[in-house]
Amino acid sequence: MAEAKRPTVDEVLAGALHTIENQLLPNLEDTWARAAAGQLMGTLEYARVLLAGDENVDAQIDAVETVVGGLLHDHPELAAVLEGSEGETRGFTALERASRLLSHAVANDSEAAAAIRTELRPLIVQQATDNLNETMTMLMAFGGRPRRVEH
Amino acid sequence: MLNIEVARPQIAAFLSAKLSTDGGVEVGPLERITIGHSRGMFRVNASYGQDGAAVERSFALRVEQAGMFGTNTLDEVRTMRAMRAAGFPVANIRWVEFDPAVLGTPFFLMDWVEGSSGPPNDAALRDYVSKLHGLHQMDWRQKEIPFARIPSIPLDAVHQQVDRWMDVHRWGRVLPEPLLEEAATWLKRNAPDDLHLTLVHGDPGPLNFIHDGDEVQAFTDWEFSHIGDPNEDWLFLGGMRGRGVMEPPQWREYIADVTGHVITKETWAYWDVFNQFKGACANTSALRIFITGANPAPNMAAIGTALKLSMINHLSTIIGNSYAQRGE
Repeated sequence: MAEAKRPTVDEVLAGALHTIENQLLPNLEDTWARAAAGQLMGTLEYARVLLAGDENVDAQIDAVETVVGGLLHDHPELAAVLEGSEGETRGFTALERASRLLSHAVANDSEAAAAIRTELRPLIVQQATDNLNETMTMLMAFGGRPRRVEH
Repeated sequence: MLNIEVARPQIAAFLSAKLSTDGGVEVGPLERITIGHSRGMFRVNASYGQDGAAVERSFALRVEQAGMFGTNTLDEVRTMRAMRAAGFPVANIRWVEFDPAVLGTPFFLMDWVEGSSGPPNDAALRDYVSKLHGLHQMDWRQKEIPFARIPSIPLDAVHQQVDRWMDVHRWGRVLPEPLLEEAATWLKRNAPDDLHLTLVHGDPGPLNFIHDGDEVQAFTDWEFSHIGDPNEDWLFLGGMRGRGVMEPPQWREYIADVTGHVITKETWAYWDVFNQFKGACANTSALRIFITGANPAPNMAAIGTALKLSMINHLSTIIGNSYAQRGE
């Protein structure tokens, strides 16, 4: 097992959060500066969430590709909807394809459109919810209200 | 990103060139106005001599932020000047500057409007809603407001605005957002039948107007204004910006009470999706501004990610409910 250099990135972030909350904020009077300090705490907490989890979107892209592949297998006519959807990266292509399929389903009542709404849409909604939860520390701090640092 | 410590002498030099003074203009420390994120807003306190008399005068400085929300100074200044000429309460713009050699980014300076942008009292809130209704009643065709896009029919206005905000999103995004692409199509397919073409402020509500006592002194933040349906404004006020004042159902009743403008629940839901879509698309621009370093402040990171995602979450729930009501 690899042994981490000390202090670790997470320990540095925790120290920065503690310093902002306990040493800087009590001495800040300017409203904009206080708001910015609170928001900075939110972004640092987000960085800690990323460190503790997964900074890549690969797993989400894998899941989208699997569902899109299944839809194309079951409903080959959807290939026409995806023509020209290649992007610069695998992730861009997968989400561009998902975008086209969801838009197609809005405007159609076919069996394939129903499958898009019941198979692909819940996955995309769940991923968006997961991403929101991951960034929630920034949303909570957006009004500039600092919170206790969790060690 | 404007460095106010650097900008202060440059603003003094700018004002010295613009004002007729005895010996130049001195500018005190810039005061950040703590509202809004689309532009840098500062109070500029200037002092100078004029014909032997000492003059103290304040201006409001509004500075672009690297394409935030996909809006620009030229359109906003043109609209504000046209609205002021039409007799609407808008701050007087003294100077606009596009040369990046001055502050590094376009900006304009307005006469300072005394008052507060904080929570209004009951009378000021009623005055604001009445004046917003008045904005929607103006004969915009007679005002020659130089909007970049003038829709031919009401439905065209919806399509124009959906495309406008999708373009802003695509400029700012790192990866496609399937739920926003879906929402763009949904908005075009489900537009209400009873659309109208009026002036739309685009960003109305608390913090975006200045009031003094019982009266509104100025509408601010005009960069989202366009020709469209007035319900876009009412939902932005009642469904988003005004939620700290009262909840959406109360807003719907309040708007009807003050203006006589009745909004059905179905129409309310549609424009709720529209404004969440608009907000999410606009907020995506903050992501690009943050990751390119144009403005690395933490509010940009929050707006471009969490705030955007909360709006996507909201609109996707409503669209999902519309599918459920169809029996799926």
